Amino acid sequence: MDVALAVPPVTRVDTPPLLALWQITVDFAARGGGMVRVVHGIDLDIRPGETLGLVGESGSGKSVTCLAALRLLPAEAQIGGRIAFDGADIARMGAAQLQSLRGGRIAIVFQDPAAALNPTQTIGWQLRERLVRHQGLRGEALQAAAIAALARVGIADPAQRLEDYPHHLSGGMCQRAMIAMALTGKPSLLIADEPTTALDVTTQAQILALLRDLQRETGMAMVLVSHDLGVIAESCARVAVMYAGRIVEQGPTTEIFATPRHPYTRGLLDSLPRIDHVVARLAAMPGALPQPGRLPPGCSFAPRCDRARPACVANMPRLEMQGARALRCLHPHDGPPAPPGIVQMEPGADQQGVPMVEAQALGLRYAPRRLLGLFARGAAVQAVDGVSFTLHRGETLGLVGESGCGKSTVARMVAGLLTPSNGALRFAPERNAAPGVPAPRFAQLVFQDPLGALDPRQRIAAQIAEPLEIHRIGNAASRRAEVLRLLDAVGLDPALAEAFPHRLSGGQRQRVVLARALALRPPMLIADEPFSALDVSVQAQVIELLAELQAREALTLLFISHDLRVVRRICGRVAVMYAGRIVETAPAERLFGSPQHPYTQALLAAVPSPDLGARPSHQPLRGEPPSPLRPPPGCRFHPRCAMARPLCRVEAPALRELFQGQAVACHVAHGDA
Amino acid sequence: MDQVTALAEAPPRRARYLGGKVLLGVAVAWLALMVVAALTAHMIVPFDYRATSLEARLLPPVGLGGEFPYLLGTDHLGRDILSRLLHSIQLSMAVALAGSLIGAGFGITLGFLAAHLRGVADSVCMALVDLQAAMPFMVVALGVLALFGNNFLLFIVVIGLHGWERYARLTRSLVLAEVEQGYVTALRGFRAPPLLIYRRHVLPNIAAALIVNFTLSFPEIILLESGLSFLGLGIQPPLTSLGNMLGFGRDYVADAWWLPIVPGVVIFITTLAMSLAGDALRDRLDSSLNL
Amino acid sequence: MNGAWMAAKLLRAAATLLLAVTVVFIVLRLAGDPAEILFGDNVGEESLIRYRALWGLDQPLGVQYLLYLRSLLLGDFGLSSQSGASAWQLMMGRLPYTLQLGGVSLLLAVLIGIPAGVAAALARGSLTDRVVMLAAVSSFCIPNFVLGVVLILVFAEQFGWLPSHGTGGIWHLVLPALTLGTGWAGVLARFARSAMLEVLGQPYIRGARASGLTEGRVRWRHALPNAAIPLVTILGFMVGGLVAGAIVTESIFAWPGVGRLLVDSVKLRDLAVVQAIVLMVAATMVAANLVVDVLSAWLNPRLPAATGA
Repeated sequence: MDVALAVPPVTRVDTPPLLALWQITVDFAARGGGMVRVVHGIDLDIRPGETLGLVGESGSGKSVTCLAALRLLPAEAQIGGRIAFDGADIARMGAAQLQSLRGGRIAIVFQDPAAALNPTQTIGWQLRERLVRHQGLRGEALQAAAIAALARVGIADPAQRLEDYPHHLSGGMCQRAMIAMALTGKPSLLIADEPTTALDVTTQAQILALLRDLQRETGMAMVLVSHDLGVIAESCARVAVMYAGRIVEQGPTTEIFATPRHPYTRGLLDSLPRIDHVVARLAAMPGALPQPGRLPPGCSFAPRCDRARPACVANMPRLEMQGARALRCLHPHDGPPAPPGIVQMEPGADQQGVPMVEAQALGLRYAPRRLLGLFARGAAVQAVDGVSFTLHRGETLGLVGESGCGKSTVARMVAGLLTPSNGALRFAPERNAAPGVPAPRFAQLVFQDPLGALDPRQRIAAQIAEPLEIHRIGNAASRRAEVLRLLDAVGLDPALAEAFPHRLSGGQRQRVVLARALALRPPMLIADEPFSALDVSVQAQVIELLAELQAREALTLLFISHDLRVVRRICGRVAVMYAGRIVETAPAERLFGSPQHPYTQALLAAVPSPDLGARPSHQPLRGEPPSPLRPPPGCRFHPRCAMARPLCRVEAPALRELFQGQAVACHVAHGDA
Repeated sequence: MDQVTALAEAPPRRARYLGGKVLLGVAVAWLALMVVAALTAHMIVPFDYRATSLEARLLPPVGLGGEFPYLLGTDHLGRDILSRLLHSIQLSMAVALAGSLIGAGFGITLGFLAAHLRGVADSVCMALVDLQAAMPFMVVALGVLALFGNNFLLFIVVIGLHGWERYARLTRSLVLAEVEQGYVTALRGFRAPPLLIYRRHVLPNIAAALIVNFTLSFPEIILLESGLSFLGLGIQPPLTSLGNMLGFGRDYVADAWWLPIVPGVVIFITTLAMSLAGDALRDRLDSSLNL
Repeated sequence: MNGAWMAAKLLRAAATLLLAVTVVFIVLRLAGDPAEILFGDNVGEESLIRYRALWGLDQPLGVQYLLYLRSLLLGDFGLSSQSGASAWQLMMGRLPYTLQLGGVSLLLAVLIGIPAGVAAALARGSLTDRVVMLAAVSSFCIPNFVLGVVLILVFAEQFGWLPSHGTGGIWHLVLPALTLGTGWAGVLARFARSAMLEVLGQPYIRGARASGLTEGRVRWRHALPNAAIPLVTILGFMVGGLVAGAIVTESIFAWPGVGRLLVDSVKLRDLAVVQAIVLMVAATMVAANLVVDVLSAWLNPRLPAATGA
């Protein structure tokens, strides 16, 4: 049990806190009886007008803490400790008092905005309901206030949008509507629980900018919960880092990010790939977050900590105050971290050699769905349109873009799982050199969804051996040996061979998926968002593994991702897609150093960076990607482009080479960089 | 979704019954008793279930004025009710089991075919499913019996057709969902033959849901069989089933209430026990799938 | 509402109905020569030939099929082999009784089942919940013919409070309606509970609570309308299956409805009446499904029907 009970709440001298959490604990009923503690005594203060970031990986208890503060957890959850808001104890409030506080002086917005809105009522109905509740408006004033509320959060055409149902709106629009509803009570505290996690990076930048603007306008305090250190660094003055249900480090953001003292904080920062440089090797923390109820004795982080000593395993250290900072560690780091070893990414390929894959004007059109084969439901969707690229032997080509841009469709076409409706794919001769090397032994697809990627009812060894079995390679004994070799290659304990997937962590599963993909020893891998479901500390491990495998086995890699930071770390050359087309392609150093297409520039600017001084001053890209049902004519980016000219509205620009290896599909870009 | 978030979301919504584990224990014990009775009925009956005795007609059960050896009393022909009950359990269970297996086999096969072939074959299968769903089964069964008259084999086939459309629809949607899973895409990437994917991977993964459907449809089939027999359109004398006993017994409800009540109670407790056990099974299978 | 969607639904319903008619036609012909089934050995060969000519039974099968469709469209379902009356009229004469019994039972089931299920969901895990759920599972596990016999035994035979069979007044309706409604109430209670719990676990309910709406508003204006969507489906299914559901109950209580007519006709192998009832039931079910689709689209704006996309 926690021995820090005697420590007074973390208070500062100046203003009294708006919301004070003291020794908050949350227990849930466990399967099979008993209680599991997921939050172990959180002390937090939020002062009026400030922005506090709550950062941690999934399962660290950050969202649960916020829900507990508003008593929004299911009735089964037991909450301990004291929650004081402006002097009133929330834990002891009656239902009526609590209800007028919620959505009134404290508002909250959630992670998945589309799911947080009632699907069977219009946005207007839901917004008016809150306006009636918190402002007592009626009639014309009510309607006017509803329109004004939507306009205030930057929704164009607000009177029209009031009549829409949530499923008519994009994720970004839903989040704006949620924020509008949260503001109806004129809150003095807004809790934003992973408000941008479900959104694309340019939309994320818009929402974060909106929150900052609103905060400046209203002077409300904000708690921003996020797993993304970049998001926190850009928005928060103060940050608390959570690990396994406890705060491990807390203090002003600038200080924490400049000189992280807790090994976990430092590990998190070191395992995050950056967009502006490439470190030689991401410092990955071993292992994964412990499961609630199975915490190790002593410091929860000790098993993953390279500084752990016997004392760390014996007792959970207290959260100790040091000036404005607080720290829960017996052997913290001192001073700023060593500067990372920065390397140059080489395109890493034989540009003159035989291409592995040549895509020429690839297109994929989904026919509309039909009812009874008669009535077309919607229009045809051109998911991919005229995509051309060459993937050279041994190179890593990154295909990046926001959701719906067609990058996964391209990956599936290259993998042979989808047949292009236009254009051609040409492969290196070995793919078709029948009978020795059929397609599956040429390229393998690795994709996200670490749970679905493995059959839950088959042992790991059987699943890794299955491709060999299908292709009748070797006998049982040799396949067994191969499985052990592959497990070793991806850094997994051979003892896991007989385990079922549910016993494995997300990172381990992704390693198994890699091992299975490599079983047939293909010269090429196609990786479709392989890390997007992983936490940053685990992601770093797998990124390094993939980079290492790629180098060791001389793999050719087509890497699809929405995360530019990961692409920066791993790819030698990058192609940027927008609305089904490639808008820019260049060697990574050039693309990230001197992007030419306005979309690429906006995309890079939207990536939140944990590096100090990188706070955004730019205006985020306006608007949203077009619906694939109705792409705009001409350049598909022109409605969002600040530099658009009349020509852009009518004529689609072709990719043209501006510099050695850098090609841009833009009428405006000249390449004077 | 990680575990903490899962815990913070809504808790399970399975029904919990008054009596909880004790009730479940009783239900399972009763089902075990029924299985034993069905398997051994012909060996343990005290009397020939067809043997009549004019001296011992309409005797009440022991404890209600009846006497040994007619433990549950006798019917209007002086036949021992316990013996008839055991035989009825045997026949009713056998018919329900055969019917369930036929329906499950047919529906699951069709569901796999529809999901695999897609396109026109899928539309045809689904049209058949729609058709069956549009025809309440009791009516279909009665129609078939009206046309072809009553014989035991036909009766089993009719019973077997019950619920095939639910298996077909369920299997189809489960297979379609399962083949969207990453591991099936990966297997396709390895050019694994479809039969291997279905047999080794998809079937074991959807089996839990199919088993749950089986536990739901089995009591319905017992009810269907006994309902038809009750109406005099199912199992015919000299064979005896639970519904058939009840159907004949209801004519004596005024004088010898135990004639309809004894088989009625057995039917009720059996279907109830099956439902309770099925719910518990679903609980367990679901939680083993979730985590 | 979306026109193309509506047209597709109507077409699908019509196709299902046509398929049902076709299957009935094929099965009827499979069963043997209708003339012989109708008259057996009672009449001479000459009358059989005359009868076949009269009903077009000497024509090729395709022509017979078209003739069959035409007569159905004209409302001619043939004549009862027992009474010689029109099968259609026999059936329509009984329908009001079935509708009366089924309607009252369904109303009873809705009024008891849905509130009980919603109450159980709102008090999840409590004693109320567990009692309601045990009652619900018991009530749909108890077969109509057992419950009916028990009710007769207790209320008619033992106490003599209520009539055990036949029609005649509101009191005659009590036992049959209880028998039929109990199982439906149990099904509805379980459905209502799980639909309500499903909705109560949705993020938008937490969202509504988080914006300070009162618990009453969260429950009745947000949760209940969303939980009603699956309930409409199951209710439509019950309405569509009303005739079939009432078969056993009508037999027990000698209630002169369509179900009892069906059982009697099956026993007498009166094919014209059986086929009329089978087709009527299929048509009811298809119509009920159609109504459910329209209602769901109205309740649930996410469905393609409602979006017009």
